[in-house]
Amino acid sequence: MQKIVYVIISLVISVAYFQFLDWFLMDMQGLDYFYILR
Amino acid sequence: MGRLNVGQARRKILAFAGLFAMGAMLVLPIFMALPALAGGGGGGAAGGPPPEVLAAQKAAAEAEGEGEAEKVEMGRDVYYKIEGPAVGAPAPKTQDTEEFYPRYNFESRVLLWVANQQHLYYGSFVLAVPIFCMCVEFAGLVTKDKAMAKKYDQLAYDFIKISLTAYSLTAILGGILIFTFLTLYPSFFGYLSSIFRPVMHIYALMFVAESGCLYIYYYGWDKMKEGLMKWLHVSMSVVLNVIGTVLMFLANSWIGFMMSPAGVDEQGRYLGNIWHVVHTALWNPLNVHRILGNMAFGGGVVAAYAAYRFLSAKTEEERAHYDWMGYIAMSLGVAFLIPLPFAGYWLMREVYAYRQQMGITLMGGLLAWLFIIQATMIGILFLTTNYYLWQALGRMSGGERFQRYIKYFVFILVVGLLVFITPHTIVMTPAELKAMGGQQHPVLGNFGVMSAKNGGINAIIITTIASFIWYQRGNKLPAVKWATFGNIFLITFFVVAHINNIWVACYGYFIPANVRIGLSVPQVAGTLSCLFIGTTINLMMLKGAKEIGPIQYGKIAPRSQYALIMLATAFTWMMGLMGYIRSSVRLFWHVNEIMRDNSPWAYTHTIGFAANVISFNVLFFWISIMFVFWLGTLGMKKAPVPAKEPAPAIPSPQPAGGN
Repeated sequence: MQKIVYVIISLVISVAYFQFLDWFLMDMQGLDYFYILR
Repeated sequence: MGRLNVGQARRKILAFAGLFAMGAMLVLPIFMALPALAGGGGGGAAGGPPPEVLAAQKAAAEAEGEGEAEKVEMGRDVYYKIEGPAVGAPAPKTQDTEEFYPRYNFESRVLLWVANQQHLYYGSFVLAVPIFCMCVEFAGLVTKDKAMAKKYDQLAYDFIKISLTAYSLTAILGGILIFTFLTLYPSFFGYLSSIFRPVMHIYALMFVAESGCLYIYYYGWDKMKEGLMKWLHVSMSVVLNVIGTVLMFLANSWIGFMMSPAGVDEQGRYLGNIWHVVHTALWNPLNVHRILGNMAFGGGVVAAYAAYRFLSAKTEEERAHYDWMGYIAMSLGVAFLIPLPFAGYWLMREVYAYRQQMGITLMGGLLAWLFIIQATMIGILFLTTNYYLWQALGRMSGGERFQRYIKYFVFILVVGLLVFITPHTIVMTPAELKAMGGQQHPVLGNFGVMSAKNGGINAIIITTIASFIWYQRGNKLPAVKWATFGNIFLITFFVVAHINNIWVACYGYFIPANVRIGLSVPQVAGTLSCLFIGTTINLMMLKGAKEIGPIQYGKIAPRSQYALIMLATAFTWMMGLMGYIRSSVRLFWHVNEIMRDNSPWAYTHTIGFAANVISFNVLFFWISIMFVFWLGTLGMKKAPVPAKEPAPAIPSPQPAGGN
């Protein structure tokens, strides 16, 4: 059970980190990361 | 006691005086060049007409209209777009005659190519190795474990010893290169040296300073081995490397000027600002790319040397030492190999920004197939690195835990490589074109674009970083309280990094090119996150870790050493290839859009011919460097045998005992 919690926490942190990184670095270049949704 | 203090004080004063002298030596070239720089590089020194011609022109002007103000012709900088006095002569308009292109009965360009490449190989080597030496010596100085400190110090000494003989060869090859230029391309070389004359003097002085530093550094090793003197010795290596790096930056400014000239007008007349000539559009990307490339190459060559010594070792002790040396050199080399593709992307981006056509010639036109070969070589480098690391796990107890996962890593690496090397378009006969249904393969053609290639190479690099982390914890079990969470987090982080990399690669297919181009930045950042975050967490977890068993250097399979040799050869071949690509992108220009190459060799070679010359260069370099290694071995054999050991009947090579 504890391991599952660890996996979920790790997943949340990792996915949030990489998505933030993608968005932030595209935004820094003046580009829209969510272009496909517009 | 008092005498001791006086002695210490004297040594301190001497050490500081030495440091001051080194600092003074470092800034001396700048002071020497100040008068020239104050005059904007110096009119006469920067390619202006000779004094007698100037005097004649002045006399003629005076005769024509006395009293009229003297007119200074102005020119517009081709890159910076600002006006300046045209103080230099225009670039020569050459013709295919003996006057401009004297020749032997051989292609002059190939002769120059070989001379340039050999000088570059050795130059890169002797610039990179002192940097390793500085790092390793510093590690030895700060480490608390005395036995390790001694080992590091010995390793640093071994490094510098190899580079010393190579240094002489570099100077000789530099001389050969200048003579080749003067003999075969006098008009071009005259123009280039007229533009760069003030900097060339700085270059020459820096070279003298570097030689002095290197020799004091090497020969003073034993004299400066303790206390403040040791710190002085390490700081001397810093000075040595600063000089070496500045030397390389100056040399890069010449090739930067040839590719993307600045500081001259459209006729090639120097406009009086030497900084503009040096600081061209591609100078900084070239500097970064070359410094990383040199380090990776230097690490590869030292690792190959260690492999050669490992394979020819006669004792266990010797084998252990050279196994360790090979590992350290390979790690340092690969540490610089990982960011190298990113520096390459930056360079290419700047090339596109400077001249889009130049970028297209490189990546999508005449030279595109050479990039496929380059991609293959990069793939080989990473595959070999991973292979070595997996083999290296065999020298530690506990390493076998990871063996069963290797097949998954191989799968990711192979898929990444296959995507990375897929060409966009293939040269085909009409029948082949018809059979395939178009220029691109209906399925595989989709992988021949940058979105897929970026994904491929990043997948390879992320996997390599994971292999490194495996290696770091090969014989260790984390003992921190949060070890379970740490392990799960590390695995999740790498898995998500891979998924994000694939997602970004796929996303690129669905958005326009101007948005897609920006995706490479987060992709690179994701990979670097794995390197920095992954390694940091791993090292934190390994604090106070339980050792399953010691690392047994020397107990590695010999095939791993062939991997090191393979790594070094691949580096060498790729450097030759990339140098050729960078140089031939100028097509029929000596200086891009300024000075045309009118020699009979102003065409682009076939890929096969280029590959043959590159292979020749690689072979020549390795034969000559083997000679350098052999010379190093001779020095070692002469080293005194420690008094405690009985004199052997047949003298055997003494590992790590050179100094």
